[in-house]
Amino acid sequence: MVMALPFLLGLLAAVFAYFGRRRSALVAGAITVAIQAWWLVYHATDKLSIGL
Amino acid sequence: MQRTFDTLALFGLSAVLLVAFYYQFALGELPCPLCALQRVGFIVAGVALMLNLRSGYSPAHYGLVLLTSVAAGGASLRQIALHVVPGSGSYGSALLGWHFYTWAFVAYGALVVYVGAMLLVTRAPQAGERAPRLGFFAKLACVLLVVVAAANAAAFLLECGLGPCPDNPVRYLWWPALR
Repeated sequence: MVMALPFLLGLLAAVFAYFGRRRSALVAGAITVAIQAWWLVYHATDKLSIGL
Repeated sequence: MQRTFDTLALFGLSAVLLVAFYYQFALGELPCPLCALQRVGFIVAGVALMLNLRSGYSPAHYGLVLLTSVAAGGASLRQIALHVVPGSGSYGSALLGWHFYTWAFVAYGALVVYVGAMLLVTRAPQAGERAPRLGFFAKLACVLLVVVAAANAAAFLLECGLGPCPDNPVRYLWWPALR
């Protein structure tokens, strides 16, 4: 897992958006969100010490 | 009106990330993996608002804000749950009585409300309608977000290198002398 990866992709999306490359920015943004969700599952599935 | 609000929201997102940077570099509080996922959400939301400003309004852009708000809001809720039991401690400093993960959860809730309101009041663009040229403040907001996104990418490369961040980071992997 490369923790900097979503930031690099987010930066890429921001640069695409700034230069008006709408489709590329949306794709890069969507991939960033997918990685964000994937790594959230990785970091958030161990047991909590609370009753839910 | 929509462009004015998107510009203000874009400044707000950059301000949140700059405050986090202040705590990271001025006060030496290194972000944890869950903190990182919360920060990414602000960057992606900013990208979507920038798309509204640069390429014209589209519900797809606000859709991206909603998706990242759910993911990053989930990360902040998880971090709140980790520390909700009395005596389980906390991570980082508090700001105005709340820790940053609590503020992040409130901010993502506010983003969802903002998107809902903007989808209600914004007129759908006509076919072939082009986005107006960026004004000074809108351009400044876009440049600021790109700079903050680049700074975050560099900071996380310094902190974690090309691997995962530790749960409780205490030093920068690629620059141990930096605190």
